[in-house]
Amino acid sequence: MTEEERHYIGEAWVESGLGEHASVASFARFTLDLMSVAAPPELLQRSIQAMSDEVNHATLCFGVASKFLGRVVSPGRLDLTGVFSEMTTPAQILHATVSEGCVSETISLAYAARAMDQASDDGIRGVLKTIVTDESRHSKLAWDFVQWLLMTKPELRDQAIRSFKSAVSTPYGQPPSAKEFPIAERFGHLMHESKEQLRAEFISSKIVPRAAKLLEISTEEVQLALSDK
Amino acid sequence: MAKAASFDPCKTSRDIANKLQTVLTAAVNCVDDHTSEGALARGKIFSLAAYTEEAIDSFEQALHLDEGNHEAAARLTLMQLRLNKSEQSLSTAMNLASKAPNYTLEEMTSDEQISAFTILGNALVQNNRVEDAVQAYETARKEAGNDTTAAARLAQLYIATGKPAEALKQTDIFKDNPRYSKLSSFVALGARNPALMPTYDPASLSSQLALDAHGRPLTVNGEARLAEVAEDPEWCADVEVDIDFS
Repeated sequence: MTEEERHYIGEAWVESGLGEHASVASFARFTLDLMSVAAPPELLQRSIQAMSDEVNHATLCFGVASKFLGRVVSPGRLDLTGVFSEMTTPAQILHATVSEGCVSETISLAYAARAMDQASDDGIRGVLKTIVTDESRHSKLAWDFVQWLLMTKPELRDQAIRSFKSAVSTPYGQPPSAKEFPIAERFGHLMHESKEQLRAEFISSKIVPRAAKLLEISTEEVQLALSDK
Repeated sequence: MAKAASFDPCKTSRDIANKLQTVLTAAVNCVDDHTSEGALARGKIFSLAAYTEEAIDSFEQALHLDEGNHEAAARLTLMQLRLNKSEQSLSTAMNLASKAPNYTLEEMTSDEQISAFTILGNALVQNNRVEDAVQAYETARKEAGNDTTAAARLAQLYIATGKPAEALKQTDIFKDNPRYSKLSSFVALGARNPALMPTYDPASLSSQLALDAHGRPLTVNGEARLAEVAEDPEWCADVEVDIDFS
């Protein structure tokens, strides 16, 4: 492994760690959102557990990052300006949960699972296994919340359809500006192209059917929004 | 995702290759020149090879030797954007647009022309100044009618700001630009039925980071928010990593 590759992999794990760390705040906000819509205690408890899981994930990611970079790396201050002023209505909470939880986190889970399958180091595979196991529960929490919210507020169904269409039809980003190192796929990080393909597969084979079932509409109607036919 | 009917990967890749050959042949002829044009040539080669930092150094050198080298300024902005140097890119772009408002940059991979105001619009988007970016792209559309990039960017922003009808107005302008064939497909859905128009949230242009972040992203106005980096060992779990770093 070259110095450059080691640095690249280390930085990738720093990014992962920062994402996990930010997830703590995301779930903190979600916990408050749950309370604002009088969600049942079971959902609250799962959200609080998710916060604890994400702290653990962050320490694991920064632990790996520090090994690769040869120095201590950690999250610092998180700017919370505007974090708690955004979502006030059930429709806004629904939209955020669909986007961040049902789609983004579920796809992130798919990346972690694929990275775990491809990892050649036992320590890294162990870290990813913990993340995959916990994120599976977090993803389910998002879907369960949406299901509960639509049951208690069926008038939000059209918003849910719009939110899913928006989340799954957002085009994937441009390839990164910095050079990628394929060796990183053996140490827990997928290349842009791998992610792009996996994202597309996962959306069509998992997320769209699940959304269709949740919303009680046909898969074809959801797919129509993604095709030009 | 479906592409616009006009997209032909064989033709598009052949056109790009032909164009690149012309650009590279011209550039390699002056890479040894210690002039602004020589630095510009080196910068273009580096940028094509994704040596982005080296490209930035070369374009900065070109500007140092000739501050009127607008192509260097334009390409410098694009490289700064590539590396997310938001403030620097905005400064370079504003400087270019104020000095040379009518300047257009020819793409290295096609005959598309990109206005100084389009480049400014891109920098404004990266700095989350969406409304200002819309103004910049609209100026680009008025000043450089053949700038299809400005039209495509406007379509994206209009979709993101909940104005699908305005986005639809741009489609005829960029529909033949293969770089935006996927966008054409999306907007075309809305042309058939506005209800099928993708309803991007306001951060759709920068939401790619959110889609890539581990775990559940913390988004504020659609932007993923992350902490600063520090050096607290309490955040570093002891993970056994068995790798030969030699």
